[in-house]
Amino acid sequence: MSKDLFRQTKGGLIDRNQTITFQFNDTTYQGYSGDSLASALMANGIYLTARSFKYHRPRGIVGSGYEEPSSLVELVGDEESGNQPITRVQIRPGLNARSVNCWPSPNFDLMAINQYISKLIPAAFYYKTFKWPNWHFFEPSIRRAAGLASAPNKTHHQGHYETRNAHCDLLIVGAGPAGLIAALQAARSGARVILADDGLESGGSLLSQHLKIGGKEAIDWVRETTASLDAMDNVTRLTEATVWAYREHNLLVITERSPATPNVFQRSWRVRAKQVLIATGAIERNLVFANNDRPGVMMASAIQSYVNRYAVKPGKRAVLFANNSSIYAVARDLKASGVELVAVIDSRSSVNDLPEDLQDIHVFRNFVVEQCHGTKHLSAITIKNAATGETTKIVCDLLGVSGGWNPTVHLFSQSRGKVKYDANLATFIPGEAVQACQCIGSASAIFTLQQVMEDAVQKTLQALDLDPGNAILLPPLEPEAEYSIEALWHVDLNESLCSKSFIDIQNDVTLSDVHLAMREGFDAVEHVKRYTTAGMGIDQGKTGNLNVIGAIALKNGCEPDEVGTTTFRSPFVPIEFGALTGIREGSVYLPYRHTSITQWNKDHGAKMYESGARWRRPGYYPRSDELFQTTVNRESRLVREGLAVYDGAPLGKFEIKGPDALKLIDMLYTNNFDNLKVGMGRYGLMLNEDGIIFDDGVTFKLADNHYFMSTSTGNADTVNQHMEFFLQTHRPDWRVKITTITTQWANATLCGPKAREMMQALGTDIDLSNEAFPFMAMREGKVGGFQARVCRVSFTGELSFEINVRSRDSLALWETIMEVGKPFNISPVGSESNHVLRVEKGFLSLGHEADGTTTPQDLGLNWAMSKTKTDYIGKRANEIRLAENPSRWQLVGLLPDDPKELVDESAPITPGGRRESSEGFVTACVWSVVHNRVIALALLENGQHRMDETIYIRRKDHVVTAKVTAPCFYDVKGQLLRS
Amino acid sequence: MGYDVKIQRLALNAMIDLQGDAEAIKNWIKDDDLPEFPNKPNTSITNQQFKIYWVGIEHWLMRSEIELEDHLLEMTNPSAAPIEISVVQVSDAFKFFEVSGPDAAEIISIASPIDHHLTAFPENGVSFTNIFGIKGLLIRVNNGFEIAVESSYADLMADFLQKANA
Amino acid sequence: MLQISCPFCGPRNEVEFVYGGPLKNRRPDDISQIDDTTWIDYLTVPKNPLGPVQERWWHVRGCGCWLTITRDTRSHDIIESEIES
Repeated sequence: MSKDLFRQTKGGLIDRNQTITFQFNDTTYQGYSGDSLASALMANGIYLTARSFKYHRPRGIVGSGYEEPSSLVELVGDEESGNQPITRVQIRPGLNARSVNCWPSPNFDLMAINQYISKLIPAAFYYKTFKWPNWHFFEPSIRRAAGLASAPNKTHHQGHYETRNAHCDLLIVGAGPAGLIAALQAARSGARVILADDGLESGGSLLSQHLKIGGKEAIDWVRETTASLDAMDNVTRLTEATVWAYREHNLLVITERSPATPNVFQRSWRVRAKQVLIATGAIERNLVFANNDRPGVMMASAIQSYVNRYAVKPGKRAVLFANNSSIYAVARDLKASGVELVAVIDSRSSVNDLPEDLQDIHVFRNFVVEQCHGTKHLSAITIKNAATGETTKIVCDLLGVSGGWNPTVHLFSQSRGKVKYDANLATFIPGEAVQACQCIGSASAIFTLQQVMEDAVQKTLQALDLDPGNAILLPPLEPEAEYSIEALWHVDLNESLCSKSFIDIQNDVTLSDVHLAMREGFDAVEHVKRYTTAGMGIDQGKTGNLNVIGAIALKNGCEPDEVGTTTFRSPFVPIEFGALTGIREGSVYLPYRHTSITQWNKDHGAKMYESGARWRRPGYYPRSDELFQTTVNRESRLVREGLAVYDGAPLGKFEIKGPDALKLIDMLYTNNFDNLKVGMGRYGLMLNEDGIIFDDGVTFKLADNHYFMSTSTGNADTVNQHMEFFLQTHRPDWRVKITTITTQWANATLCGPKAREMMQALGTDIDLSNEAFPFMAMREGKVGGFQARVCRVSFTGELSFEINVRSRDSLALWETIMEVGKPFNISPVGSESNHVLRVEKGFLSLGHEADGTTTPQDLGLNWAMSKTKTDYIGKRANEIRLAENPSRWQLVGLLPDDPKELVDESAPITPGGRRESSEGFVTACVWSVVHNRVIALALLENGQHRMDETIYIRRKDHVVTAKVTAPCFYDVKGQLLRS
Repeated sequence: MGYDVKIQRLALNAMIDLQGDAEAIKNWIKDDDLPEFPNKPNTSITNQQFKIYWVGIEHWLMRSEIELEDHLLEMTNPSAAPIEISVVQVSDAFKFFEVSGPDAAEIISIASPIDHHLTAFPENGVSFTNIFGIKGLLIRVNNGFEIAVESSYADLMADFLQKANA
Repeated sequence: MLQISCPFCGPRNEVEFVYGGPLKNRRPDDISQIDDTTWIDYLTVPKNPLGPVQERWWHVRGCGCWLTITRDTRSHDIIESEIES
């Protein structure tokens, strides 16, 4: 390791006793604990770290934190992830990182050809050129050439993502000097405080500067402060935790990159904060001049960070170029680091604030840098006297630039707070807040430490509604120079140079691109952004945005505030999808529900799948190598000819009680319930207020104004919502209470001609005769030793007994049934055979025939529409609907001419099978076990009047013809289920 | 095992759902063995044998060990209750979990958006909330929390809790 | 993600609620007296103002009450929250 050349021998927040080996672009390097990937590479003399997004120009490291616009890397191996700014990756043993945007390496990049044809590919080139046949035809290959990192294609080996929720009185974003002193102030008051910072450790800008606080090194003050915060129960301090979204009602989202919890790889926090202090500091902006993207050109503040925090020497001969006073602190630190400082180029003409102790450095006042020389590394610069135009060349390999400081208003702006332009500071500063938040410190455009701390304390007191007497004592600070700046949006373009002046380094947008956009009429700032892509993507305008605004203002001859800003969007930094989903993956990706006999079903070979409302149910129970259709036929025949049992537990169930319960039931259903006797049930249709079928089910009367309602499985929650909505918002004076008892009761439904014999065999104290216990009745008693509510309802058309027991008894009942049913050859059946049986009967199924467009009349259910009730939900709309358009799609049966061809559900029916608008569709198609052929149900235009007609079902490559019949294929009079 | 918690499925509990006018309910289930009704929304009152949770406007849940279910049914007599009040046995409709130990609150933060800090969710706090995306009852207990969900979701809940503490 | 104040439970996260549409007048007792156009408008024409709007939310993963909030569509500020009585 060539440490003498690029690393200082002492100082910095690195641990020289801990050497770490890592890989970058397939080469092995070493760094120290505390190094970022950027600083470690710099200490190894690596300056060429990337290729640019579009032109594939050589690029180096530009920043030192999340603002890094230039070098993005992807991590490979166990912690695979893409598009990480090189400055935010911490080195650790085994780290393996690779530059994005170049292949095979940044030094020899095949796509570098793009820089030689760059004249041919200005902004919007792709959109203008690849128009035929359409953009999407070319997009994939262009995206591949341009794109950033590829998406990771495997899950992490170790640990998992986590998301969590949190609440606090005060969230402080950023733990620099403002955030730390604010946290200290807030913590003393006992408030619940969360302090989150993006950096590896708290301290913010203090980690990169040589300052004294309370007579000590700033870092010592930082560490004492964090120690006392950590000792307090009411403070949660997070590091490597970026607050990246500010949403409505003070909800902010934080992602922690390295949580301390074992096995937690990354963690996102959704924090609901009563008050927010935004202490995000300020981001230095770039300066725009020819070839300002050459490796070796860096932000001045980044240089300060590398020499102070990481004890790196980023170059041998340095020049600084700035339009503001902050450059002189950098100059001082550079000198102290042992890097030769050749000159400072200060573009300001009117100010001379060169500090006393720096009088010996060579300052070119009222000069600008016109261009950089060198290709893969900076070799020299040409500077120009702004007054005379005379130029000079200076040999150097490091150029620090500072275009002034922008308060980091991204979160403030996301909170919908307005920003306003400050001409003295040549930047946009936070204006009036909309949510409960304030910017403090340099995020509110305050730049000296003394003022930053005073501001932070005072606003913290305000946020917590404490009086000024509670203010904590500030540590004594050293005097600092006031910040002064003269705007320099860009150095004037010198066309003869034929080189590019980058205004947005990450998206490869040049000053000429901005001018081109404006020439072509896209001169509003939002249009310039979209035309050129400046400020988009990962960068979100961190370093370049204001220069775009400035360039537009210069061209239009107006002030930047007349140009306005673009919208700052979340996420502020790239966030992995895993950090958003947390543990919700794999088996819990979707919710699922089980009945008490789910395990029994699985143990007995049932094929389980979702069948509405997240219930996983047995579809069918194949025996050894049985095919699907064989199984379904066997199960269906069993119900028609013998005895089967079905797990009906998921059916929605409600107990409805109160003096106005009957009134409610009569409002909900289309038919009449006032003459229903105790112990009897009635099938009912529910409409929504639009007159469309919404649910169906059977409701039993337990006592006067006391009902037991069953709904379809899929709609149970929606029916509950429908009922509570009507009761609570439209009839709050009605006294009715609804209790959901879907899982209080489970049921085993015995169905088939032998069901009654089976009930007898199980042993019951209920009189099972048809006279004592008729169809649609409910009886309570013991069945097989279990207390039960037995209902005689049928969804298969066969004699059925639905035995409802407490869920805890359900498995035992089921096993008893299996045992007692052996002589009857009983077998469980799944939802597939139930489907066949209900199609044979022509019973409606929600989602099939009742698909959200059909009325009861469409399905031939006119008998269920009360003629005597003056009102029920949906009545009026149903009448209007039918009056307006009597020719509707109506339920019919279909017998395909080819008795063996099963047709997909939802296959369209068109006139003559031609390619025309459909006149209906197949809602269900099954193999009928009673007819030994295919049968189908369909919705067909005016279908009830088209019996015996031939209709045409369009398939992908042929047409199926079928004869229209009545929609019932079995026991048309319904004698069996009443038997 | 990222957190210092113990997560366990609890045995069946006896539960009665009570809805209606508070006075009418109190009149119906007068019993010396029962505690007073809670006087603050989303809190509970507990004695040795029974717990009463106030979980909604005109809505309470009574809970006991399953061994006391018959006693609870006797006191509340669901089928004979006057028409103005609704008394329904719901023991089987819920399944309970206990999350206990020093990090119990961490698991609840992952599970639910509710503010479970003592200042917002007191010692006797109990409330329905969103737990891993579904409706669940959150109850503060001695050394952590209990969670009750509709019983069909119990396996899902166990799955989630295990993943949260993987 | 809104934070909605429930009259029974206090402030709760939006995920506990289900949106129930804009506030409408109570359903009349005798809808047969209303002409078709009025009824169709009642069912299908919601107000969509820029500014305060009254809407219904169901605290389904909470105490179960239907509440009416007044929300400013420009800022999401919830000005009022109440239940029907």
